[in-house]
Order: sequence, then structure tokens, then C-alpha cells
Amino acid sequence: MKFRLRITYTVVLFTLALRPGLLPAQQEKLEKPVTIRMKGVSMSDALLALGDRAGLTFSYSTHLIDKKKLVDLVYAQEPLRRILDELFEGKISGIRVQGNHVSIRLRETSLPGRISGQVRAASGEALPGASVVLKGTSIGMQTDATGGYALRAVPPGKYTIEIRSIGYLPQTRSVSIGDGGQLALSFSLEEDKRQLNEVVVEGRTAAREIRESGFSVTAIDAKKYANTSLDVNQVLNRSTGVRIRESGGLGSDFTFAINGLSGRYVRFFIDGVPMENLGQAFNLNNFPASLVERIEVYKGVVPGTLGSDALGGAVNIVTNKSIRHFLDVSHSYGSFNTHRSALTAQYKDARRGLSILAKGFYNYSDNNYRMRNDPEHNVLIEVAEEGKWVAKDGLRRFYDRYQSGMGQAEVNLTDKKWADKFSAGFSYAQYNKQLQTGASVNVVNGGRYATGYTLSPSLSYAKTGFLVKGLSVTLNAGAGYDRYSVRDTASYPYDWSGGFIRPLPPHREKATGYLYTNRSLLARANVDYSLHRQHSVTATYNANIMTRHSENELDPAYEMGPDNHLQKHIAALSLNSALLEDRLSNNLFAKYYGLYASKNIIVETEYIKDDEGHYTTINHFDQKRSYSGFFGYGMASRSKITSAWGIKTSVEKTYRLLDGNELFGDGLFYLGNPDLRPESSYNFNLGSYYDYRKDAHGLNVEVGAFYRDARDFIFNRMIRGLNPQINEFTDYTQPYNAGKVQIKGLEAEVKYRYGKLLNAGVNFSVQHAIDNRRYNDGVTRYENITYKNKIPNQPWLFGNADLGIGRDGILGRESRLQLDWYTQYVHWFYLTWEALGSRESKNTIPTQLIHNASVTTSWLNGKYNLSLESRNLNNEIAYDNFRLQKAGRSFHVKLRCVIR
Amino acid sequence: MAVGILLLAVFFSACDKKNPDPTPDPPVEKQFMIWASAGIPQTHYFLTTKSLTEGKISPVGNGIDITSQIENPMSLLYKDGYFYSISDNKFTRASISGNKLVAENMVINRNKVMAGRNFAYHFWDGDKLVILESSNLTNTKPIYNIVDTKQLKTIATGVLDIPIYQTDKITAPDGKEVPVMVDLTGAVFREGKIFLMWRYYAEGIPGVRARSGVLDYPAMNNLTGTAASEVYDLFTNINGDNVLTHTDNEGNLYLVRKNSSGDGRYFYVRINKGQTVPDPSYNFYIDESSVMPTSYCSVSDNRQIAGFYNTKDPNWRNWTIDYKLVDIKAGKVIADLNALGLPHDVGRPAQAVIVEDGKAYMAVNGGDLGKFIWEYDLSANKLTRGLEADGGLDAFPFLTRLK
Repeated sequence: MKFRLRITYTVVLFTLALRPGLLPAQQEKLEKPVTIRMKGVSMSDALLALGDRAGLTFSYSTHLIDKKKLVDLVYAQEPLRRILDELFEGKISGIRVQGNHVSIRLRETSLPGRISGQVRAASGEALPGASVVLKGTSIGMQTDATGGYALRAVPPGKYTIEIRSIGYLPQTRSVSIGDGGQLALSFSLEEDKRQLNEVVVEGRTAAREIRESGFSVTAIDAKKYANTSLDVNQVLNRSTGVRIRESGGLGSDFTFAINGLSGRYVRFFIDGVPMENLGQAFNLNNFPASLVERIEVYKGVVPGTLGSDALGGAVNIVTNKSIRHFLDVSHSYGSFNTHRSALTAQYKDARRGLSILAKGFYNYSDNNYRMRNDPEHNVLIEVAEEGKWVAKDGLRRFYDRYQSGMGQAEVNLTDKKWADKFSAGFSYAQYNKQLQTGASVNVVNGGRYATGYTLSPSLSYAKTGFLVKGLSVTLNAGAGYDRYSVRDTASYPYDWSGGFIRPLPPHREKATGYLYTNRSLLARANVDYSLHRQHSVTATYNANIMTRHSENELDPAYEMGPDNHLQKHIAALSLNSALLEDRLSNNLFAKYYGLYASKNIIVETEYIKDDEGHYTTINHFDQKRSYSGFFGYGMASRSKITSAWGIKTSVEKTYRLLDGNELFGDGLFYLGNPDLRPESSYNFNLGSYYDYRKDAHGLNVEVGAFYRDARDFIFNRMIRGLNPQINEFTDYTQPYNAGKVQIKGLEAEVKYRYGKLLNAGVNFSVQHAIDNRRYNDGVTRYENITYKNKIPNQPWLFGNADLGIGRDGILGRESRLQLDWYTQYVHWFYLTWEALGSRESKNTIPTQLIHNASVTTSWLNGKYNLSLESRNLNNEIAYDNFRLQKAGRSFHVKLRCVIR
Repeated sequence: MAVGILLLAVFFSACDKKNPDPTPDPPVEKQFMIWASAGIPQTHYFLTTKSLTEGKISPVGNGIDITSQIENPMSLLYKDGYFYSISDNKFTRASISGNKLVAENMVINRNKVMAGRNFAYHFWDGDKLVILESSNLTNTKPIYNIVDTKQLKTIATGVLDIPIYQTDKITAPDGKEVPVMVDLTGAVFREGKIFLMWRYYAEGIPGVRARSGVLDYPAMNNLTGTAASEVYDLFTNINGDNVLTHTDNEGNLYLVRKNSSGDGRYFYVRINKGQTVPDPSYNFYIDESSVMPTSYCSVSDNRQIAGFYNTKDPNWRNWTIDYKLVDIKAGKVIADLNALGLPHDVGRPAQAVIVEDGKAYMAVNGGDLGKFIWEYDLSANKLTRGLEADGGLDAFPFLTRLK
């Protein structure tokens, strides 16, 4: 440091020596070091004092300066000339020294200066997109691709320059620039370990690490959606291989598909804990994206650490976490009277290792969007008028209100001797949704709704170096009490006018309501042991115990069938290896799927004839029990060809365990089948990624191929049998193993990023799912007519494209303006089997090309955020499902405040 | 009280229509429709053919896709060029136009009817279709609709003027209060009156009070001849147009009922002319096993082609539908068609029998024995295999003649 100062000082002297009009003796007086310390003195007093110290007198044009201006003179052994330059703020145009008198000539107007340089990380890497700001001014910019910056038109004066870059400690420096001066200042920023943990490791780097694992996984950085009013489903719907089909507006039912397998074949987790215990009130379509840090979508092959019976894949939602005080609160309002609020707050006492985390959300929407008459696709919005059905366009949905809320509190103890982290939490969620339609727009409801709530306490414990070095333990326990019901209070049927259809007076009002109560217990253990620097073993055990009770809440006498009791035990052992200096990464795993189910079922019915000759029945129950276990296995491997390019492959034999109804029936009209086998699938993925980064340019390419050979799919068949309860023949539904589906597919995604200025991405998925069931039930001679046919009513070609442009500082200091465009494409597909029936008689779900746009402004480095968003900008008639129309164009505004 | 139920002019379905005009019709190119169901998810197709006796038929690239239009063959009627179906509050009249099914809808009053019983009780009065349906509301009278199918409009709608039960609930042996439903079990139209059967039914309490009586038509009131009966589980036209009733030349009415003693067997009972309860001297069991009627077609001379579930096998999955030619009046089986070589039907036929020119045609799903239309020559007692349907179909439960 001293050496550098000395060089600087020598250069200054040399420069001064070359200035014209100054003799060496005069120069010597101006270069005389002066030490002075005065604060808050007037300009004139300051010059007098300075003259005293230097043994000089000064003269200057008093009209060009404010003599009463208060200034600070704090210098230690600084050359007089420099002190004068700073005192006169670079306005000195010439100095003449005569004896002990210094005559100072001042410039009437100042020339702007320029500060330029480069911002690098301490490691030497250029930092593009870093913020460079002269504090207290509106002067600022972002560094370019090489980390360079140039602040032009800087008025002469003293400033504090501040450099900020995500993941690095901010740096400030005092600078002074003279009239027309030019300063070259470079900065070297140190990494911010805390911020790295929060943002980079959990956000970008963690996503990249996951992406570069052997699994076929999409890691979505959800932070960039924090300022939007999107829910998790809408974010997931933009990723490759994922298709979410919603039946309506906010809170509507949906099916979630990964690579062609949907519904019960996909399992969901929040922070690694199965969502099954969180009940009906807690769903992906009401969970705001702003509460989410990252979403991981595992396709086909699911890591043993998630411990689940997912046949088609799994989604793990990683929620926001921070190690600091933190408040993130937002509210959005939009079309159809849609309100969405979200809150995350954390208080932390670092000294005690105590933190309290609170999260919550609230959603409300009338969902009263207009329904469009669309005869081309057999969607008729009909009203009953004078005994006829009359189709009308633009009628509003009138009974589709949705409301949901969730509150969660968590107390965490961290960095204790006995635990890295110990948490106790409790959450409450509730929902109420009106059900406007049945399976299609043909069925219009006016009094049917679903409501429920869920209570979920939880505990978790994590410790590295548990008992012995290299052993890490994570334990989770939770309970769930989920109570929900479906009720219909309407006395009469409705049409799209919102009115009754021909009510008949003698019909008496009667509500129906079915109440379901699920009680669940969850226990999860994850034990990881590092065998060697390159190898570790992870053992996972997941137990889920659930009891389901059904009743007719308005008519308790109505028999809803006995309770279901179910236990799922899933254990997994994984061997993780990082070989050849991490160029080869392997994950081998084996899973055990255990299922215990029990249920009281009717085994004998006794008929008693009364005096009038009428029979009554007495049912005798027996508790049926069943335990079954299955082994699955799989592996995931990644080879790095270069540091940027890798190849991934993964394979798994997996199962979806049965439930109690499938084994024992519901005691009513759904017959159990004890001979059922669990649904299973051989899943295979092959993929490659390429991650190019240079300066501000970032290019990420991922391509993948997948194959699914799913067997023993369970379908229901109708059979007619004797119902012992009522001694009558009844149509029963019974599950049986019949389905075989084979799916092959390709997917690809390309993302480009240029610093913080531009990001763009495009992805597509194409999948070919065929019916692999060769024979119909009970037939061995004739091939099933749909054998090898493409599975109908499934999107098979779809893609997404997005473009974002943003710039800091446009709307003021520490501000950012971001424009985003997002387009979704789904190719049309047949409702029924493509090969069967005449083309002109077949129904289709039409091609969808939906555009969405948003503009977001942020101030004070993201402290305040305002976004405007339009969905379905082109007002397309949107369908995910046949005859279930989604909302047209809508607008939303969202305000978000983040305080760290 | 004697009921003025006369025995003639019972209107049956198209399956046994006769043309009394001795003048031969000009030759008409026949056309038949076969309902085909395929795949999981199951989809449905109308296949048309000119012959039931030869050739092959398949929905591959052929036929009208009716999925999402009509999905339940038990809810389909055909008459004079039009298909009629009913769903929620829509009454649909559809016709084949080119390769499409063109539908017209009208509003029909079906508030809270019992699920899955579309057209369970109906009869034709010329072009008027009379539909009777039970309500699923507690102790509520059934409703009726009289639809002019030519004009496609409701002529009359309302509730049947029969008494509801004296209490809304019945106490079960375990103390539960079980709601009572007024459940129609049969309706036969004859001589301008409706012979009606119903029961007061409570879930889990079988055998509760069955009644029968006669209503004026079309007023749907003036209930007479009310009688209590154990005959609560009668079948009149449970499957669309297949009539399970028969009236002999003496005006006696035959119905199929179930033995309520618990063995689940079904048999014919006879309600003699002028009576409203079965004649205890007549019980005609078609088969020794427990059987359930499914697909019927009256032929002539008190004969019926009767399709029954054969439930001899204790495993329900192995139940089949068997066919017999029976003489109802005599109470005897004339021919066992399965003994003649007709495969046991492993499907679930709904309206799978028609009669044409003294021959019965049955759509039979024989599983590995194939799916064929079988021709049964009534006079020669001869069975012949005819048109073959694609063996890869799931089902072909419905057969009718279009022209």
C-alpha cells in the first residue's frame, strides 16, 4: 500500500512539475505538505486557516464562490495544491505564486468529469451487471459484459461511489473529481458468504448443481416470479415436459402431468416433505410463487432421498429461507375481483440462535369471467328459454367464487451443540370454492361447493457430525388433520343465465353434503454418511399413516362405508459417488415400498323378517388386513465431457402403491380387489446439458429423451353383482390391472442471458404415448382395437417461449424496470382415439397460443416493487380440457415490499 | 278394488313391431346400427351396416364418434329415424347426417332424479314419449314428462299423484333413522291408463312397503286400485327400449321380479286381468340359477327372447349373459340358444336383440369366441353366425334397425 501511495505521489509531483507557468520554487510552495483539521468552518475562514498553516496568503474571485459555505478541512500531510483543488471543487483554472501570496484564478463554469474503471471479483473474474452509483446523485449504471463502467458528466466535487453485485459484499469509496477531471477507479469485490448461501447457492448455484446431477430434473429459480401474481402451478406449466390442465380459474381442479404420466402418478413435496399430509386446502394452484425459492421437477426417476411411490415423477418446492431478518409482503389485485396476498417474515436473534418464521397467503377470486360460445368445438353456453336451449355468448360465470388461506409459524433453533437446526412449526389452511360446472360446461351448478381446512403441526431436526464425523441426520415428523366436504344446497338445476330451470313447486329443498376427515402421521428420516471424500451413503425412511373417514354430514344415517386405514412405508438406500474429480457422478439407489391397509368390510348380512313380512338386515363386519411389499431400484449418472457440457442418464423401476379403496372397496358401490398389483413403470431418461458462460453472456441448453413403460395401470370396470346389504343386484365399479402405456418423448430447452439486461428462453416437449394393452379384459385371441394407438385426450406437443428485458436506474436511483413476455403453445389433440371413427365426427381440443406480458418496476434495490401483468393478452378461447373453458384476457397489478 | 286394466294394445318396443298391412312394402334398403365401445378411456361409436348376416364391421377409420354426446347405451331410444337420449336437463333428439350425429336439445324437467335411471320407466304414446322418474329427494313423488318428439317440446310435466310415505324416515334395527324414498319400480301403459308400481324404500332396509295402482293418463292423477304387495322389484323397461313386460291374449300382465328371500333369483310373475297383485299360482323360473334380466325382446305368440345374467359361477367376473326362447304364458323354456351354440355373452348388453321377419338377431360378445351378430330362425330353431364385429372392441351392447 505504501509503495502504491508513493508512486501516486511521485506521479502528482511529476505532473505538477510539467504544468506550464509554474517555476520549481513556486511548485514547491504548492506542494508543501499541510496538516490541518477543521470541520464546519466557512470557506473564507478555511482559507485563512490554511494560509496560516502554509505561511501563505490567498486571493481569489470572491464572486465565484460562496464564502459562507461550510466546509471540512481534514488533511494530514497533504500537498497544498490538492487541498486547494478539493476546497474549490475543481474550479481552479490557474494559480500564480508571488512570494508568499497565492493568486487563485477560478473558472466561471465547471466542466464535467468522468469516472471509469472495472469491477471484478476478488478471484479476478469480471463482474458484469454490477451496480455503480454515486451516492446522493442520480448518476449510476451497470457494468458491462467485461465488468467495465464509465460514469460521464460528473460535476466536479466530492462523492461516495458505491459498487454492488449480487453475491458480493458492497464497496464504497470517497472520490473527488475536479473540473473536467478524469478518474480511473477499479474495484475488487469480496464474495458475501451469507448472501451466497441465500441467493446463489440456494438459487442459482443450487439449481445448477441439481441440473447437473444425473437425474432428469428441471430446477426452476422461482425468485424471478416473485413480483408476479403467479401461483406455483403457473410457474411449473412453463417448464419442459410439464403440462398442467386446469378446469377453470383460480383454485379450480387440475391434473398435473410429467412426461405424459399424470394424476396419482406424480407426487408433491414441500421442502422435501410429502404434501399428502397437508390436505386439500394446500395446493399448487393456491400457493403463491413469491413464497418459493426454487422448484425441482424430477421426471420419471426420483431420488431415494424423497422416499416416495411416485410413478411418473415428483415435484419438490423449496420455500423461501433467509438467515437474516426478513419481511416480504405482497398483494395483487386483478380481473374477476381477484386478490392474492402473501407474506414471509422472519425475526432472528443470532446470538441465541433463535429465529421465528411466519408465512401466509390469502387468495380470493369471483372467477366471474365471460364464457364464450364456441360451437366449432362443441362448447355451447346455453340458457333454457321457453323450453328450448338457446346458446348465448359472453355470459359470466356466476357461481365460481374461490377463497383460500394459509398461515404457518415456525420456531427455529440453530447452531446449537446438539442440533444444527431444530424446528417446530404449525400451519393452518382453509379453502372454500364454489363449483360452477360439472365435468363440462353442460352441467351448471348453482349451489354446489367444497370447503375444508387442514391443521398440520410439524417438527424437524438436522445435525451434521451426528455422533461421529461424517454422519448427517435429518428427521421430520408431522401430523395432519384434514376435514373437507362437498355440499350441494341448490334445490333446482341451473343454466348459464344464473337462474333455475323450470322449478317444480312440490320438490322440497334438500341439501346434500359429504364430509371427509383424514388423519395422518408422517415420519421421515434421512441419514447420510460420508464413506470417503468421493462416496457417501444415504438411507431414507418415510412412513405415512393415514385414516380416512367419510360421512353424509346432512344425513348421518346415510352409510358412506367404513373407514380406510393405510400405512405406507418407503425405505431407500442410495450410494452417491463423485469420481474422476467430479467428472463422473453416480447415484445408485434401491427402494422398498411397503403397504399396510386395513378396513372393516361386510362379510355377512343377516336378514330378519318382521311380522309384516318385511325384511331388515344386520351386517356383520370383519377387519380385513393386507400387507404387501415391493422392491424398486434405479440409478442416475452424469458425465462431464467438459466443464460446461455433460451427459446424463437415469433409470428406475418404480411403483405406485395401492390405496385402501382399491384393495377393499368403499363398502358401497366401489368394490375392492385384493388381487390387485401396484402400478409399476420402468422409466428411462437420457439427456445432455451445455452451460456456456462468458462475461455477461450465459447460454444454457438442455436436451433429453425419455421412455416410460408403465404396467398394471389400474382402471375401473363395471360389474353387476348382488349387494348383500340390500339384497339387490347392483352395478359396481371394481378396479383391475389392465392398462399398459408406453411413452417415448423428446424435450429441449435453450436459455440465453445477457447480464441483467436480457433473458430469453424457449422449450418444447413432444411425447408419443401409446396404449400398450394388447388384449381386453378376459380376451386372449383378439387384439385390443386400440393396441399401439396414441393415447387420446393428452397434449403431445407443447412449448413455451419467454423474453425479458430489464434495466437498472431508469426510474431513479437503485431502481429497475423489467419487461417480460411469455407465450405458451399447445398443439391441438383429439378427445378420443385418433384411429377410430370418422374424422368429421371427432371432437378436438384446439391449438392454444396464449400470450402473457408483464412490466415490473423496482425501487431501492428491490425493496418496493410494482408489477402490471396481463394474461391471455390475445383473449384466446382457452381450454385445457374438453368443454371446460378457462379465463380470457385478464389484468393484474401487484405491489410487493421486501425488507431485509 | 278391481282395476280397469285391460290387456290389449300394449305398446311394445320396435323390436316386435309388426306390419299388419298385407300389401308388401316396396323394397327398402335396410340399414342397421351397432353401438361399439373401445379403449381405455372408453370411447363410443355408431357403426352402420346394411346386413346383419355377413361381413365385418369395425370403427377403425369408420363410424360416428358419439363420445361426449351419448355415453350410455341404456339411455338411448330409437324411433323413426331419431335417437333419443336424456342427460341432466337436456332431452336430445339426434339423427345421423353424413358421418355425424346432429343433435337438437330441449329442456326437460329432471330435477333431482335418481342417478343412472335414464329412461328406466317410459312408454310411447304415438309420437309422444312419456318418461317417469323417481326423485332422489326424501319421500318425494316421482316426476313425469310427456314429450312431443315431433315438435320437440314438453307437453306436460309434473309429479305423479301417488301418496308419499307417512313418515320421512324409518328406524333401522341399529337405531339409525333412514330416509324413505319413493321409488318407481314399474310402469305399463295400456288402455289409456298407467299400471304403476312403486315402493317406499329405505337404504339398507329391503322389502319396505311396495304398492301398485292405476293412474289416469295423461292427467297422471286419479289413482285407483292401490294395493300393497311384496312385488316391489319389478322390471318393466329397465334397459332403454327393451320391454320386460308382456301381456298375453287374455289380458294378463307378465312381469319379471326378484325373489326377495335373499337368494336373488328372478322369475316371471303374472298379474291377472283386473288384478293389481301377482297370481300366486304362477311363478316361472327360467333357470335354476340366480339370473337377472338384461336384454329382452318379445317375439310373438307369447314368446320372448330373454337374456339373463347367468350367475351360477360364484365369481362375479365369470358371469355371462345367456339367451333362451321362452313361452311366457305356458311358463316354459322353448329353446336354450346357448345349447344351440350361441356363445355366452361376456359383455354387458343393453339392447342387443331385434326381431326381423321371424328371425331374431343378437349382438353377442363371446370374448375369445369373437363378437358376432347371431341370427336365430325362430321357426327352424336354427342358429347362424352373421356379421362379425371387430374382436378388439370392448363392447357392442346396442343393436337397432335404422331403416
